[in-house]
Formats: sequence, structure tokens, C-alpha cells
Amino acid sequence: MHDLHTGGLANYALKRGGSLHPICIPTEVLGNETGIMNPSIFQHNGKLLVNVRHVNYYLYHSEGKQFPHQWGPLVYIHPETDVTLRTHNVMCELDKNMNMINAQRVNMVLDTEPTWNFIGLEDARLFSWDDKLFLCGVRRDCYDAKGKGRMEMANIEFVNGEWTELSRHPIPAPGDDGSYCEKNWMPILDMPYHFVKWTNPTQVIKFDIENGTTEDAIYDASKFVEANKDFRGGSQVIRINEHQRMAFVHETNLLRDPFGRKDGNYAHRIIVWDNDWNIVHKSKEFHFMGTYYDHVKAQDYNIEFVTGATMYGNDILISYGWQDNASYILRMPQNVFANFLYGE
Amino acid sequence: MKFKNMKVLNDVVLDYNNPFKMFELAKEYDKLKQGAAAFGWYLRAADFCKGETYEEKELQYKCMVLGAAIFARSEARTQTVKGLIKSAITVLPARPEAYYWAAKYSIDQSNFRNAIMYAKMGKDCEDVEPNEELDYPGPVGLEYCYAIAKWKSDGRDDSKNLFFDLKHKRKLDMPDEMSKSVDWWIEQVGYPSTLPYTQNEKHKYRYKFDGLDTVVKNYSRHFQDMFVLSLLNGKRDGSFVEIGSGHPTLFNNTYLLEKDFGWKGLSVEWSERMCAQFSRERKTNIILADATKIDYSELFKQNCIEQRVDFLRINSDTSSYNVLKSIPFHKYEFNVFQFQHNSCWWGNEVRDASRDFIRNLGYVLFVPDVAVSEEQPYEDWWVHPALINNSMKSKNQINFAWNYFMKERT
Repeated sequence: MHDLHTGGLANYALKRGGSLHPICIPTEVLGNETGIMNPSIFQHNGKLLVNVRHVNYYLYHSEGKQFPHQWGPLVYIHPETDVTLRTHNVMCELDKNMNMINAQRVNMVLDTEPTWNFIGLEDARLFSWDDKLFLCGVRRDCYDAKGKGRMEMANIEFVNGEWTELSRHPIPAPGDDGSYCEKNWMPILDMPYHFVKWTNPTQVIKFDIENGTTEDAIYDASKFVEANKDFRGGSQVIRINEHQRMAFVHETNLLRDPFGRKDGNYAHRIIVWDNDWNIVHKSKEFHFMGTYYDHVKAQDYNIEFVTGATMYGNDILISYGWQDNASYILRMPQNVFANFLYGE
Repeated sequence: MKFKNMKVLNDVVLDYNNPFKMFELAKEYDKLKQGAAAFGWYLRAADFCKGETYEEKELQYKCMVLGAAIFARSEARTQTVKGLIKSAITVLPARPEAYYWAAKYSIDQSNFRNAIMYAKMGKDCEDVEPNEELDYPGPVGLEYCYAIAKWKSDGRDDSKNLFFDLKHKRKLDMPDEMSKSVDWWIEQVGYPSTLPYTQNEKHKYRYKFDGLDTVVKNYSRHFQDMFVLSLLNGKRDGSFVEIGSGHPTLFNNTYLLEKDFGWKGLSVEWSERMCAQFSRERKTNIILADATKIDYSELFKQNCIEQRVDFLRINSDTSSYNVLKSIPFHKYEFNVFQFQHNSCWWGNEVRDASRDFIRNLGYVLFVPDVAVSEEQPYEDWWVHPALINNSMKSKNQINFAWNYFMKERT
């Protein structure tokens, strides 16, 4: 028995030889002290890189509701003069001890005048296909004035001393591309231009980068695995052995306080697929940093989000955001991780 | 940038329900100017705290104050700053730090009425020493905020006294930055037109006299009444002639002498309104007249003024010199003699002429160029040669009244 539920995976890992590493980016790079969140870790050409999402807000989440904001327990604190939600991506290079070597904002030179007030490439996963480095996340500032969202891949490279966007590839939804918002598609690292669009039942999408079209590669509604909640996208999909791949996914519980104001809880699971994209295992639900547990409502409160994972030597590195305000990398010995994944 | 204190992070992860450890982690982030992360942990610490004991309440209080500080240094998040400060005040309403932050922030927002209110409420709180953790400089911080807000709110002359008091009475209590700011404010607003003596500064008063203990406060603008009492060692039942008395009590130079030391005398004032009020509020006889048109020999005779008067004061604005020349010095002598020449406003002509005139009468210039500030002289104080008290004779060319009378705290 362990205290995973209350203490979180970070606690579990630390007690078993793991370590937790905060990501701190100087204000000289960020320009302010607002949230750095949803980091996506990836190894590229021998370098350990993490892309971090920097937003223009602080998340105010009074988990215990003792000190809610006047606008509710879960509030995005923008400048009062700015209704936009802005995202910049900051590329960080880490050493083997997870210390930051450098950090620099990615210059998204292909940005155009925004059409909506969520601006920038959000929750970008970092990965490489065909030796090209990509950030892939959702954009909601390019399509219409109502917030239509589509996944977009940005090919980035370190050119002339800065991280620069070289090309941009909007990804339509498969079929009639009629949905309102697509997000959190998970790139399959060993299958170039394929994403897990939806986890359960698993839907794998193939993206034709030349023509800018998508099609279903895998989808079988009968492969639904019994679950209480939707499994939503998280990390990249990484291969763990020759028969299996896995990804961290999240489950949201969007709540309302007695006055109808929003609140929330994000939990995570690890999903394991076989080579035929059958879900062969799902971990127990977990958080990373524990939760505030309301005994009266029997409800957890916390906001966390995993957007990256990579095997690193004998360890696994998991990058996640906490409360949209902070970013961490959890390092776990792979055997400890396996014990956790399959139940200790 | 490296997060060096990994222990505080590990402590939180391993002891995940401990708000005190969360607070330490938040502070670590705060030190690194990682505001969002710091705030997230402050808020979690506050929420995880039951708030039952004082220690727990204090933790919540600190989390709210420091959380507000993060938003205060960010752009345009006023509602959040205010909300967090109010939460802090709600948790520990008798602690002053949150009021200080509220006052300071209100000033930054040009909301001076709120700043006055918060500073006042803070001043009424329990006396808490400076608190470095909460960036609270102590009660002087509230006085500083109060001074700025009061001045910006009402622009009254007495608000200038608040800055003056900070500079001259609380200098050693202020952090350097605040001290510099007060100097800047004084430069902007100028010195107050009156610097009152109050009993709680008795220990700093240089020229003690009999009866000083009974003086709760004085009334002159710049210690004129105190000078007379000091020089004459608190003499009782003395006498005075005051030409240009003004208000019977406010800034009046003889009211203290009359009220607390039993002095009697004669006052002259050209304002009908002032005279009427004087008659109602003072025992002293007041003459309504143009001071330049009075036959002083006759007036003194009619009012039974003795040949040796303790205190003569002449303040008739531009007419002072003419009045001076019409005083019957050949018949009357004065122990202390104050002459207002207003040289800082009108130049040195009257001052220099008056000095020649008075010197020829044999009086000693005891405190020359008594000044409103370090560089604004407006009157001379003379003493009868028989009364020279070397310990009070000034060696300075200009005598800022405060510095002449009050010892600086060291």
C-alpha cells in the first residue's frame, strides 16, 4: 500500500530513488513572472530539450476554497486590460542532471494577425520526425473569430543563434473537418506523421504533410475499454518495448461551485497499447503533486498536465505542469516506473 | 537559473500535507522571481492550513500578503491584489502588515482615500516590529503611506508636517529607500509653515526651562514662544508687547505665555475679524489699529506697560521696519525681542536696515535668520545685553528653527 492518491506520483518516485526537478526560467527571458506550464521533454541529437508554454496569466486555484478569488475558486488572472490568452513557447536545454543550460523564446516568425483571443501555439508537444524537430499543439487564432481550433505542427530549428519556426503545417480534422476544436493529439514518435487523436476507443490519424490532409489510420469503436471518464491526450506516444507503446493521458473533472463558477480536477493515467493499438493496460488514476481532498464532497482538486515523457538511460523523465503556474520534470528509475505502471 | 534549494521541494513532496513546508517552497520560488509558481504554492499552503491556531492563521496571513505582493509587481491585476490583501486582513485583522501593503498599493493606484483609510487602520493595530519576510518596515511604513496619501488627498499644509516628522523624528526607523523618498517628497511639497513642539519630544528639546514639563504643546510657528521661555527660564507672570498678533491661539506667539505661565501684555492687530476673536478667546488686551499709525509712547502709557518688558515681537509684514522705528526704545527696554523681516521672500533690505537700527540700541543678535527650512530665513531674535546666555546664542548664520531647538536622535 502506498500513498499515491494523496501524495502523488512525485512522492511515490522520491521514496523509491526518483527525483523531482523544477524548471525555472529567468524573467529576463520571459519578460514577466506569469505561468510556465505544460513542458514537453524530448531528446534530440544528443540534447535534452524541453519546450515550455509561457502564458500571460497566473492561475488562481483555491483548491480548499478557503481563499477563493472574488470571481471564483479557479480563475485565470490576466492583466485586467488584456482579455487575450497569450502563449509563447520557450525552448530549454537541460544537462543530464536536469539543470538548465539555456532557455530562449521560440521565434514564431510565421505568426499572423490573430483572429481570436487565444493567441499562440498551445500545449505544444516536442518531437522529431524525419530528423526534423516539431512543436505540435493547438492554435485557435488562425481560423475564425469564434475560436475554432486545429492542431498545427511547427518545424523549428536553432538558426543563427535562435530557435526559429521554419514552416507551419495546419492539420485538419479527418473527414469533413467540421469539428469546433481539436487538441491534445499525441504524436507517435516511431510512426512519423501519425497521431493518437483519441485514446478510447483509440483513433490514430495519419497526416499527409505534403498535401495537408488527414485520414483515419486506425479506428475501431468496438475497442472501447470500460472507463468512467474520457482519456484525453497528454504526452507523446513512446515505444516501451517491441510490442508496446505508451502515453500519459489525462482525465478532466470540470466542476462548478455552488454559484456556478468553474472549478476542476485533472488526473492522469498511463495507457499501454499493443502493436495493433489495442489498449492492453491502463494504470491507476494518479496525480503528481497530490491533491486537496474535500472530505465532505469526496472530491479531489488539482490541475496538472503532462505533455512529455522520454526514456533516458535507465530512467524515465516525465514533464508536467502544475496549476498552470509551474513546470516540473519527474525522474523515475524505469524499474520503479514499471512497478508503478503494473501495480505494486 | 538554478533552483538550488532542492530540500524545500523534496520536503513538500515527501510531507505533502504540510502547509508550512509549502510556504517555504513558495518563498524559494519568490526569491527567484518565479511569481506564478510562488503564488501557486502560497495559495496551496493557505488552503491546506486549517487556520485554527495563531501559528496557522499567521501562515495563511503571510501567504495572502506575499501573494498580493506578487500580483502587485505584475501588470494590471488590481482586483486580485485587493482581494488577497482583504483575505489577509480577514485572517488577522489586528496585524498591521496587510494594511501597510494595502495603503502602499492604494497609493500606487492613486487611490488616496483608500490609502489613508488603510494606513490609519494599520496605525491602530498591534505594534509589530519590522517584518523582513513581509517587507514591512514597521509602523514608520504606515506613517509614510499616511503622509503621502494625506498630502495627495488634501494638499493641506499640516500634511506637510507628516513628511517633516518622518524626516526629522523617524529618520532612523526608515529603510534607506524610504528615507530618500521622504527627502524627495519634502523637496516637492516644501516644509510645513509651522513646526510645533509637543510634550512627547521633550527629551530632544535642547533648552530646558522651569515648567517645561507642563507644556503639552506650543502655539508659535517656529518655537518663538519656547525661545522666550527658555531664555527667561520659564519665567512666570512676565510681560509682552505683540505687534501683529494674528489669530489669538493658532500660530500665536504669546498664547502659551499667557495660558500656562501667567504673562500679561498688549497685542496689536489690524484685522477686525482677528481682533474680535482675540477678545473672545484671550485675556490680553487687543488693540485694533494700523500698527504704523500708532503712537506707541501713548499706547504703552495708557496700558501701563512697565519700562522693562520681557518680550517684544514685531510682525507687521511690509511695515515691520516702520513700526520698529516708532517704538519708544528710549523709554522702554525689552529682554527678548523678535523682529520678522521676511528676507527669504522680500530680500535683505529690511533685514539689514533693522539690524543696524537694533544693534545701535545695544541689543545682541542672538539667533539670526530664524528659518522655515534650512534655507528660508524670515526673522531675527534679539536679546537684551544684560541677559546673554551663551549656551543659547547661535553661531550659525541661518537657524532652521527645528535644528536650533531639537536634538537629532542618534
